[in-house]
Amino acid sequence: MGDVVLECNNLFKKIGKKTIIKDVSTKLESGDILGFIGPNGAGKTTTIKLILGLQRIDKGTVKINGYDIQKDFEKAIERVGAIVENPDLYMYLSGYKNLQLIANLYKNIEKTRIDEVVKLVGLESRINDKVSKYSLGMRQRLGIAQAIIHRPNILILDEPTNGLDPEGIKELRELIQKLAKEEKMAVLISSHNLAELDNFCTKVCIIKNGEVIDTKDINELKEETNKNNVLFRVNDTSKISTLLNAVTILNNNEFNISATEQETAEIIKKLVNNNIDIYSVKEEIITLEEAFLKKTGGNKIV
Amino acid sequence: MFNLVKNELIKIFSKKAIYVILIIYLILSIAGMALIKFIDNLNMNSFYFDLQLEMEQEYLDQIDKSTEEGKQMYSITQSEIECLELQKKYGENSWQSTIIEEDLRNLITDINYYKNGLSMYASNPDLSLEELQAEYNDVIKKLDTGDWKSFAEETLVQTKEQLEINRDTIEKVTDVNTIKSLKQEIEILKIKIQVLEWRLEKDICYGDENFDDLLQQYESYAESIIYTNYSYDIDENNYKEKESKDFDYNSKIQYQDMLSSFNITKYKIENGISSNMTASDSLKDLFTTGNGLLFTIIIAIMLTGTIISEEFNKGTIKLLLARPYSRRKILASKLIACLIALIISILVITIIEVIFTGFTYGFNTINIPVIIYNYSTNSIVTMNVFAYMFINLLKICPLIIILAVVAFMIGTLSANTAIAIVVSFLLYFVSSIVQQLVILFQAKWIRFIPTLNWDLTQYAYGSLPPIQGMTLGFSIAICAITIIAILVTTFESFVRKDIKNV
Repeated sequence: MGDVVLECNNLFKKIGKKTIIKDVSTKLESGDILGFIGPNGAGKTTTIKLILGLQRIDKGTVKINGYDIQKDFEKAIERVGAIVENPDLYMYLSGYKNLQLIANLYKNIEKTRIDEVVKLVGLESRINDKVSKYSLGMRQRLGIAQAIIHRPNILILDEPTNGLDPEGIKELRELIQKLAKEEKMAVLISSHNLAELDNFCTKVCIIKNGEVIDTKDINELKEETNKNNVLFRVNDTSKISTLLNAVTILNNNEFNISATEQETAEIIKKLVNNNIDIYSVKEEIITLEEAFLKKTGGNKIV
Repeated sequence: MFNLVKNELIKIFSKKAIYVILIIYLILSIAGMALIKFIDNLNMNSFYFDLQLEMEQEYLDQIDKSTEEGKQMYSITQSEIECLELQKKYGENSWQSTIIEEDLRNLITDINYYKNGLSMYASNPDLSLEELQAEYNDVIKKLDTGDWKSFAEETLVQTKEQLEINRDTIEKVTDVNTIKSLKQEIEILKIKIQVLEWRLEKDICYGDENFDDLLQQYESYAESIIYTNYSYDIDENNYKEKESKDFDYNSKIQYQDMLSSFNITKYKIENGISSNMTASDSLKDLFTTGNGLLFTIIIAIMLTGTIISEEFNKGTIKLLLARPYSRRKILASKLIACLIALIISILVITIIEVIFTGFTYGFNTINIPVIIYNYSTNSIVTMNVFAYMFINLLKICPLIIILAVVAFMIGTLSANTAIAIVVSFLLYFVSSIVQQLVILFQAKWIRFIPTLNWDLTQYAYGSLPPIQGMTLGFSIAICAITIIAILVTTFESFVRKDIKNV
């Protein structure tokens, strides 16, 4: 993988008496699309705000492109683009004017760059309308445009899919993938919904109650989920436990086992060889979501 | 930093608020001009006279003459009716009408008191009814036959005679108090003579629409000053130093106001500046007591009260803070942008006002200089109206800036636009009430209250401030400390502020 562009080390944040971020560490390398997953109230937005310097860090460090956000804010934030919470833009201005204001804040953003990002997010036809007339999806896209206009190498998106319809989510996903590829950005994207992210994240960081539970490469996670739960219906389960390991016997006729496709084929052979009649074999596909549910240990997630 | 300020200005001028306020100001100016023009064109006098007569007559019929009070009321009302009828006879705007109003009224009232058996109420009870009536007939004759000049000349001669009599008497008496009161009377007579001489010399007839009221004002101010001088044994050069129980600090302020009005009136009469309202008169106090101040405050509070709190409320603050600028720079740029927008608004208000007062009173009257009384040197200074306005604006700056930074602070700390605006406005309105109250106490610690120091026009041209012991330097220091304290609080808390999750 590439260079480390963002590094959070042992972050702590207290609000009032409650510690809402406990020892959060994570890393983002160039080319990564890191899914930052956790239920509502897990501390995703707060962590993002700590990274962006919007809230003060009680303990720990955030380093962006080698600069410490607390000591060297202006340099650290220079190459970061972000949408936090909602794509809050100036409603009384046109989309174009909004982008112009942002462009004014950075050196060397030429006019053509504005047109370029407008085209990239596909807002050409409506860019001169007031933002108050935009739909949520359009605002989300304009939000991304303002986040990438200064060619950041880190893009931080907080719940970008909130309130979007499935079509909108699909478009957004494609856009982010395109950006990561074409603009070579490292992306940190938070969501409470893993299903939306599992197709394009390269890494997943699971956070719950302010603590990081696990950070995994998406392939590792996928491997885990490759082993699907397989439900067998047979004539008799009494001999099964002696034949197979790690099996869950449900009743006289049914048992459960975690297995890949190849393993399933071998189990079937074994059962046939041992004169057990197989009535049916049903594969229960475990999605990232279910793996994630297992990790966060609850069903509190929407 | 320059780009930040530019962005803030773009935001301010893209919003409707500032235009709405300026348009309201424009509408008020148009309405004001229309009202003045309308009143000018309206000839209420004739209608007013008839109505008044009718009312008085009706009132007269209702009076119960059996009691002494009833009789007194009856005499007064009867005299009023007679005066009105006489004024009607000579015409409401005639010079005779003014004489009737000023001199004849007392005579008629005295006669009526006699007729109703109330001679003890008469202003001059030494004269008999016959003598009064003779005097009355004499005046009427003069009104009927002569012109106002002969009348004035005759009065002048009489007054001079009176002066001589007093001068003779003063030689003869020895009683200190009598001498003092005679001296006072002589001075008043001198003023009367001065007024009559001016009247004849400058051809100002009674009821002259441009100068008559100036002469009257001159006389009354002069009388008040002479009276005060003799009562407290002071004069215009030493009143600031005199300390006595009766002539306290508030009396000094009243006395200096009288001096100012007296000298300005005198200057106007001597230089032939009429009392008519001019565009210059109307403009000069625009930012001290006029609508301009109120609207400048409204715009200042609106700008600074919303510029941060609105970004918090709309969530756009996150968009702004995650940029390569320190929070201090962002806050400072917002403050600078507000200041620039405010200056632009002040210019717009001035232009609107110049146009409308120009239309109302004539554009050429803008060039008439503002007459100022310098309290330190007891002399008159004149100044171009725009220079005067600019200086006044600078003097009122601490007030506007303090209100603006208060709104800015509350807007930043509470992130609540409504609270920021309402609290700052209350501060402005309550402060003027508080000022009225605390002046009564004149306690030492009061002068440290910033709101009593924020209007530097109170030191205008050497005038005594409403609260004893305050100086211009002191007030500037108090205001500066206040502004710096508020700004430091705002900046430090903004730098530390966590942007809360929604």
